[in-house]
Amino acid sequence: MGIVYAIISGKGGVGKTTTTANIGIGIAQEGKKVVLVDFDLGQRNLDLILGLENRVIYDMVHVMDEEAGLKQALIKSKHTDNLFLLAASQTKDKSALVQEKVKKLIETLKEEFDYVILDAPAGIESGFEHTIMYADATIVVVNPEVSSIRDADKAIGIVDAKCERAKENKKVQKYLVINRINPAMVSSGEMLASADILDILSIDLLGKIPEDKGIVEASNTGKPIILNEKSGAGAAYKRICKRLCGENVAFEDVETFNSPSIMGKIKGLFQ
Amino acid sequence: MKIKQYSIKVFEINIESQSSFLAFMDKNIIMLKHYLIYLKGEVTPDMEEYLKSHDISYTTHLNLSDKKHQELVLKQSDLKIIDEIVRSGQDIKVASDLLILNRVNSGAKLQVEGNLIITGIVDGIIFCNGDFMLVKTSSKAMIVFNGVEIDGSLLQNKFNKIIFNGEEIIVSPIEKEPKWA
Ligand SMILES: Nc1ncnc2c1ncn2[C@@H]1O[C@H](COP(=O)(O)OP(=O)(O)OP(=O)(O)O)[C@@H](O)[C@H]1O
Ligand SMILES: [Mg+2]
Repeated sequence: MGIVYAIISGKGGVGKTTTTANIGIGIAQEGKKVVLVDFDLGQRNLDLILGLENRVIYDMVHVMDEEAGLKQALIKSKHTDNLFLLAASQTKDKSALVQEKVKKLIETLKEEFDYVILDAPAGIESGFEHTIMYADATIVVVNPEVSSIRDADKAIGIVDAKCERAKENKKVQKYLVINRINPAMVSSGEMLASADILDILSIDLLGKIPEDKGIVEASNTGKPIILNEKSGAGAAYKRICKRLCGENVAFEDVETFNSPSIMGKIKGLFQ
Repeated sequence: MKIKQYSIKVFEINIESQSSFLAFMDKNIIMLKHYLIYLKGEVTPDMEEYLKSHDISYTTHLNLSDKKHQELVLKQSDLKIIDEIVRSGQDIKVASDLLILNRVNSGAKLQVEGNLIITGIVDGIIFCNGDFMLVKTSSKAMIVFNGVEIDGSLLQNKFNKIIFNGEEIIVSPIEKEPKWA
């Protein structure tokens, strides 16, 4: 029986889809069987980021409406053998989702896969609620800025109030990923420090991802950053995956700003 | 012959039914343990068993006819306790006193008719109409006490006692951090 993670954020554009793709690949590389489900109906993205855009024939709505079998709709990743994608519908929107069918789909996926990872849409409306309803745990993605933190806080509150496990009085684990950390801006106080974010949200830290220009290119070429051995963000995603697979990996400092050169400091003296 | 004298308090209880008696005892057992209970009415074996197992002194024969007594008013505490973080988007309305043992985040709103104590930091909005409030806020918080917005700079970074004495609102910082045992 697999475990279901919903990747949520509240605020849009903070890195849910990027995180979903990278941890999907990373966990699959750890030898687990993983399926990623794109719940962002009407705005499908995950296929692009995984480099599978032209492979989508059937999507999750086809499967739920029994117009296609699950086997037909699952798309195998080019990057690793254990990873599959169930794409979002491009034509239908979130009104195409029905709670009972979502439940059945997730139950089926749980039987087949070790990790079922759901990429939530932005916001906290019905599409979001469908995504969290049958999750065992959630991964909350934030950027170190107040609007992202407040929206995430709200999303966490809704998870606690509405998701099926919470209603059964079971614990819904919540893990925090702080994405797009810019060390220079943290040092200068322009960005919230991780300690303050953890204080406000009071959930467990899963990992911190630095700002990385390589991520945009990685998305454009369909090769998630975790496949890039040299990238700091890729290494941070690798550590997250190991943690999700039960390994105890120390947290690394991605926040301290190392000024680029001694020359920079000396110049500063004469200004 | 040796004679000793004790002054003791006696609780006179008129038994109406076994169930209501046992419910009353359960609720007040900590207080009643230290007194002598004078029971009027039928004492069933279950009740006897209960009293014995809790080591409570009682009697069914006592002549108190010439003694003065006081009506006992058991005060029902009407306090709501929240032991969870209050998150953005939550809007909590409470008619009684409220104790929050966690933080109140930005975007959360509390409306409290009674007194209010919050042990965590307040980043959200609070309306309190009680006589008393104890809070510690950040610069983001908004605190309205009996219809008056309290100047945020008065409340930051330490615990503050805010009281309304019917005429004016008095804010006094607590210099020592309270230890919430
Ligand atoms: N660590 C990072 N460094 C640099 N760019 C990043 C980083 N993480 C994400 N991005 C960029 O931010 C943008 C939004 O990312 P993404 O699509 O993953 O967010 P999302 O939360 O899924 O958005 P939506 O809410 O619209 O679904 C993308 O252009 C992505 O390349
Ligand atoms: Mg997305």
